[in-house]
Amino acid sequence: MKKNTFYIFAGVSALILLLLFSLSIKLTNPVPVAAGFVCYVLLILLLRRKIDGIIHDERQTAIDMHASAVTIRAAAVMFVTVNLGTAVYVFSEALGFHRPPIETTVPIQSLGAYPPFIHAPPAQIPTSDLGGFAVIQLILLIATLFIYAGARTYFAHKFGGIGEDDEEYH
Amino acid sequence: MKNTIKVHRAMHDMTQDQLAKAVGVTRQTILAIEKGRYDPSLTLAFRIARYFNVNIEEVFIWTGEEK
Repeated sequence: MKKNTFYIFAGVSALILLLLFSLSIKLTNPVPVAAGFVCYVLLILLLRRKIDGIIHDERQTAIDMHASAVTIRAAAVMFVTVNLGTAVYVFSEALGFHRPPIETTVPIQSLGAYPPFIHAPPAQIPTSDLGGFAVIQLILLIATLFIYAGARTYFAHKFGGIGEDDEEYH
Repeated sequence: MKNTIKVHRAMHDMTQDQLAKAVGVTRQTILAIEKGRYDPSLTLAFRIARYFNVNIEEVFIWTGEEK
């Protein structure tokens, strides 16, 4: 398989994955996109082996290793920061720090509440909040990909081979 | 670490691409080694020296600690 064919296939598969994501939202069921993503990753890993003329030598391995190390450090700082913040939010009630009551304009008949309609804070974190956390994690993951790409470019330049073509062809 | 790969290539009338294919790496790796931007592993250094049929010290010259 040629390199360009692989990229086209990967792009089309990513579009299908986006469709599965919108389908999952429509069905309010995470299974299609989760299963689709696992299949996508397996497919990409399988197809990468079929690309012709790819030489992954020791210099590229060194670049990968250095870029990965930088990315892991940066990702660890970002994820620990966000997760620590979220953990405080989740455990705050259990630790005895109560969130303030939430005002609502919708009358809650079962509570017999009247304007300004104050009710007790939810005992559990609403699902919508967890979804927001997932979006933050996705943003962090995308940021991690950018950090990896940047680090890879930096180390590829540091270890030579980029923009320094002095080959004399016969 | 300095090296004389470029000299040996010239003596054998070889391009970077041909040497790269002969020792199983990319042309960019040969370019990076020639420019002193990347120090090859011992295995690759021996492979290059053996390809030119010389001792490793004739191709790679130790110049002391890296900066």
